[in-house]
Amino acid sequence: MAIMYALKSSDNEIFEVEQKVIEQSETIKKMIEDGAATGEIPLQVSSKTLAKVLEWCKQRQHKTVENENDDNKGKRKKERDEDDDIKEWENKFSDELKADKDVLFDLLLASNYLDLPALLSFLCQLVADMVAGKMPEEIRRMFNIENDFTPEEEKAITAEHGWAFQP
Amino acid sequence: MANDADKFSHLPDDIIVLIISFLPFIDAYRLCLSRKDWREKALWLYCTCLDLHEIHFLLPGTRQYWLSIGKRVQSMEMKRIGKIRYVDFLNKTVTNLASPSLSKFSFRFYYSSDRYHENIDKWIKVALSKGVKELSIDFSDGDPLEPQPMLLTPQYVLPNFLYQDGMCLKVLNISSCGLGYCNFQGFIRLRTLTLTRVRLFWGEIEHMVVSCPYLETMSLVECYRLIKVHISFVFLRLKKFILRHCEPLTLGVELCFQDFNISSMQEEWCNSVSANYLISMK
Repeated sequence: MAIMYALKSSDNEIFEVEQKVIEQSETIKKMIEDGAATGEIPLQVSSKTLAKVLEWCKQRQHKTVENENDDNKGKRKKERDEDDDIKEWENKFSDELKADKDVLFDLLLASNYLDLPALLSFLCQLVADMVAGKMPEEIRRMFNIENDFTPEEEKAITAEHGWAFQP
Repeated sequence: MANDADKFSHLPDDIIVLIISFLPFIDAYRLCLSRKDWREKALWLYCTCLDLHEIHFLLPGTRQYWLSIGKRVQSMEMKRIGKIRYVDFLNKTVTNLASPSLSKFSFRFYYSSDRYHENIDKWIKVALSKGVKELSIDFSDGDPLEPQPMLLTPQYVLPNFLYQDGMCLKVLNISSCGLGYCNFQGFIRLRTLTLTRVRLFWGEIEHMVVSCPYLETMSLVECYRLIKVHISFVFLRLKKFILRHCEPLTLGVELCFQDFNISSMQEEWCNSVSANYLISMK
């Protein structure tokens, strides 16, 4: 019987999760080890974001368990199929995040706070892919970044670093 | 989007730095130009893939072919200014690079005087000290319309420390310079080696293949002084051996499989090694 833990989001929603799933987060693992986690574990993460984090953790957990149960026979083919499945799942996951950038950045902060290195790198790579090949102005527009340069400063930059604005 | 808040720029700096570490240099730089805060902190210096060529610094039109002499003089002047700005910028960037490691360092600029010798030595030194895995050193011009003449005596010769401190290198591309010391025994992790427009003797090539235990792909493009090709047994270790436009290869290619049944060996060669020979014989 798997040990279950209750996570409480910042807006007081409770999530019941298996220990193995949640131990991927170094932050929570430490909380459990320190004994600070009797009953509900309070987290500074909204329920919407936490649901996404758990979605990711469960997928990861699934992957590691299946790999352990594999015997060597026919492993390669199985692995390849699995890799395809995971890719497909990750693509879907990232498409959702691309469509809702609010969630994306909340998730970035959450993965940093919960110390989930795999998710953090995955998200950073995702943002990097979105930024790649775009001009500063396009990046600002895409992420609603406020342009805090004065027009004079902007002019000076364009004059000095014109090369960076060429396609 | 329901919420218009600018969440990106409120991310902590270490997350921005992490995102930057996934970006090639020019994209990292553009990202930092989108916000004053990031630009002032020079976060692009955390980039791990420094890939910057002279051509980025040439104004548009510099490489057009002009009929009028005045315009041509003007474009030469623009090339000169572009080069100065490029070297200056790269110098500053390399000196202040904040990332502890480098995955890739690639520079390319036409080099016809020894004015920047010390700068280039420093770039290579910094890259090696950060354990660079992919290093590209290119002194060719690459102007598609009016290519600069190929220099038969290279102005820049690779420094000795490249051979001594290159143990992290996996990919090495060298174009249009002298090889100097040319001892490949220190490249213990090298997998891919490309030499373009380099003066080479066959003995040196053999030495490279023998010295690098993990070498898989070797390409020689437009190399000169290559009079004879002599493929010996050690070349079977390679997965790919590419020889392209190397003149004068008038004596052709010799495949030598000592003490082996040649026909069966050749078959194996064809099966296991994708040899790619395109030798121009003029």
